[in-house]
Amino acid sequence: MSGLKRIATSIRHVSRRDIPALMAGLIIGGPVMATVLIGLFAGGGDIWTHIFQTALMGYVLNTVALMIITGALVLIFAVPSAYLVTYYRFPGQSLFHWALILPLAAPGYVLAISYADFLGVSGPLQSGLRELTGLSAREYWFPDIRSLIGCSFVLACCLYPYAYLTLRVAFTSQSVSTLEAAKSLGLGASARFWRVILPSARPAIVAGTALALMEAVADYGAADYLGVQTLTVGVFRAWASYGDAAAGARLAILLVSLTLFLQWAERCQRGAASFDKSAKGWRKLTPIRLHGKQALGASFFCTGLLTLGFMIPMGHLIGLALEGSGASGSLLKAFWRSVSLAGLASLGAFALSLVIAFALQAGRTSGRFAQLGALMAYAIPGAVLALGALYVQRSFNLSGGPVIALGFLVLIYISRFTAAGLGPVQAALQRAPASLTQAARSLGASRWRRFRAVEWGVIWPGAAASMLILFVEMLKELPATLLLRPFDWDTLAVRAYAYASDERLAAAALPSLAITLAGLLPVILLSRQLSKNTFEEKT
Amino acid sequence: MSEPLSVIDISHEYAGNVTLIGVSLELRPGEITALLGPSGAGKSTLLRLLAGLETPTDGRILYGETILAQKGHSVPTEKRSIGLVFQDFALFPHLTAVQNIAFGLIKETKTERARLALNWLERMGLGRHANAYPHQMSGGEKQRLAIARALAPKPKAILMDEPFSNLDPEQRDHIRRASLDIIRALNIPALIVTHDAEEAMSSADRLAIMRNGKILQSGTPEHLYKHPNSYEAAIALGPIIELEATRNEAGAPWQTQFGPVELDADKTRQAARIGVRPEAFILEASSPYRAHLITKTLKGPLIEAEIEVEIENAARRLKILLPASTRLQTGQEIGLRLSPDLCVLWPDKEASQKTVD
Repeated sequence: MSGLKRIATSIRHVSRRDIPALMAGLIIGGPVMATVLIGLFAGGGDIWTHIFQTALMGYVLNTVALMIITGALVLIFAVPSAYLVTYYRFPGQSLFHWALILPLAAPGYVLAISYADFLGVSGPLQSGLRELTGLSAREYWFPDIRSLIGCSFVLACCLYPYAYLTLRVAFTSQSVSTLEAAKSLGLGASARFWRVILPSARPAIVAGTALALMEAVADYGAADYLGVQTLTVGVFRAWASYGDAAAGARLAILLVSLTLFLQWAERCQRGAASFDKSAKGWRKLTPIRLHGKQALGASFFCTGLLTLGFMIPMGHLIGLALEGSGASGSLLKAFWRSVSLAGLASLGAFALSLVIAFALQAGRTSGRFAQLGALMAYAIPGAVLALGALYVQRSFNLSGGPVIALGFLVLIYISRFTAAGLGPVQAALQRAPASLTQAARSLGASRWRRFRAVEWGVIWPGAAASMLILFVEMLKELPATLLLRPFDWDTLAVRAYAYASDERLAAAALPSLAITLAGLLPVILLSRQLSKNTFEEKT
Repeated sequence: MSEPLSVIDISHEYAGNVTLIGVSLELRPGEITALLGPSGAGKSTLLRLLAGLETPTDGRILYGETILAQKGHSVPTEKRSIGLVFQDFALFPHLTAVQNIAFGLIKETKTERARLALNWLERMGLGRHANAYPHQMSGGEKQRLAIARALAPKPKAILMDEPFSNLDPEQRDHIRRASLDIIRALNIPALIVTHDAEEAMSSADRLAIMRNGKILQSGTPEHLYKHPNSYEAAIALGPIIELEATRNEAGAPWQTQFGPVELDADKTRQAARIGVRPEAFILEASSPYRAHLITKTLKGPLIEAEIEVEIENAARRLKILLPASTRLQTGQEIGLRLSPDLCVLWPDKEASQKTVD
């Protein structure tokens, strides 16, 4: 009742100033709503019946199994590595501290392309083994990367940094006094880890893993390339193979439910997160120096993880690129298209994130509404959002020229990624509290001058980070681009994927590397930002 | 020539909650008015209304004869020319000290802006920090910079929200005095919002006590301390002891546990309650009104003495204040009388929580 009352009061208080944020919310939430409505009301038809009878169970089982295996691997990769780099000193620790998030730079499909070749029958590893042992390909067993487990491994390799990052923050914020109390109660290093450190980091573990799993569920490129029929692949195929957007939208509803469940689980844990921040006096954690075998073991684990997540796939791609014939004209064209498309859409998304952030800062309900829309759209796979756009295009007979197609693509990019840009802008705006703007008003500054001379001056570093993150996320985007792009209009991501699908791996390597290199920029920025937040601001 | 800033019968509501009810207050030029009250009393809302950051639901705000706000209408903050100093100082972090001050000097030329800003920095003792960013300055320096920034554009009035609460106790007194002297010299209306009674009494020329969205009483600090019009107004400025008082005939002095007290108000009643400040007690060896000293604690220039007296066959303990020079032994019997200057008459027990005048 009180909730309803609150909503009613909020609606009554909607004013002219709420219009920009409400518009932003509608632009962002529109594609999500469209897909859900199509899935619910557009009717099933034969294609849906066919998918329901033949493929649905497989999609669901594969998606759930992918989530379980990827989740387990993410934990195996992230928990020990975050624990080691936070609590101990060992050779390479300061390097691993930031380098372990490098895999975030590469999208899943790039890792899949690289690993599929590297571990394939004709890849360097198996060839080397055959040369070394003299065996033929039929005479030994080798794990198949083109499988559910292989796909989970690839996704875990590029997604574990999500859990690593949240865990590192949680471990760093761990109260030193609590650890000292545990020591005084006779707990050794191992007991402290299992009985104090790990339980108090549980919210971070769930949050980080949920984030990684949302990305895993949304992945199209890696799963499709490695031949794993997940729900996202199903959504894509419902359109690409059967041309039925409504059937795809029905599958998408399942997918949306799954991602909403993950978000809900993460939020439940976040509510409980306050219990690990009870200690008042914050003291900087002093890492313990490891010696001998222990130091070696720690270095080995972190090196292994970095090798699996970044060095092998990127090294192999560099090798493949060097074998290739260099950049072709079509690749340069794809590069230009990627940059202009991502540039345009990131400007749009940035503008919307600015509108939402200001509305949130002013405590406007419209800001919260738009933020919710943005978070939902971010959690939903690009293929699902694209499906809604395709349905609208077809229903209103808008599939005319490339301009309309690109317009829809920009809209979907904006819808999907605005939330990624909102975070840094919001964080930056926290440095510009309402009192700053009020002070400027009391000094006679007009609205435009307040924005230009005060707010922008304070938030521009955050705004630049926001635009960079948006740009790179959009540069990497694959499924929505595949579905919505005009005919023969390739971006770098599409080129990389198309070359890889045609087994032209040397040609796929260069665009893949270009995307990863661009992805490195925000990753390094993020790493630096996190180091600053966890140490400088708290001391 | 500066004019008063007046609040006339102002009411304000936010999201269905009434935050101010019929508040009236006049801020006079050259005077510092302190608005005192606990959090939630409505004092910051009143400041925001004066600044134009909120619009009243009823009543008027005037600068001289000019209407700044009335029901549903409000001159925007940026057009009011009223200086604001925030509790968190709200200094622009990306601008240097001199740029912060120059920010509000929009009508001057660039050279004039720089000259005036540097003048203000010198005046506030911040000359060597001209090119420092706020994060490179101490709390006291930031506070002075915030005041200088608000005063530089020659505002019609200045409003300060808990401006000294973020300072260390050692530097607070000095900075407060220096800053308020500069503000007084400008001869404009000035308002300080505070929850600290000591700060309000020591820094303001006039004081308004707020509670639950209303002004309980306003006047000079001394008048309010000695003649509070209600129990609530009395405890807002310091502790008060309540004593029963009787008299045989109308107009005669009131008889209390500590002797007769002559109070003018209410000449007709024969039984009442009297509010007594702890420092109203005077030690007098020959006084027939006796008490036992239970504990004593040194509090700066005074001693807080806990005494026990017998009232209607029951022992009652009171905390009173005596000069620190007094020589007392714990357990000693002492004689006391009351100074009428620090006593106030409440109407009766039931009415003691309400307005008296």
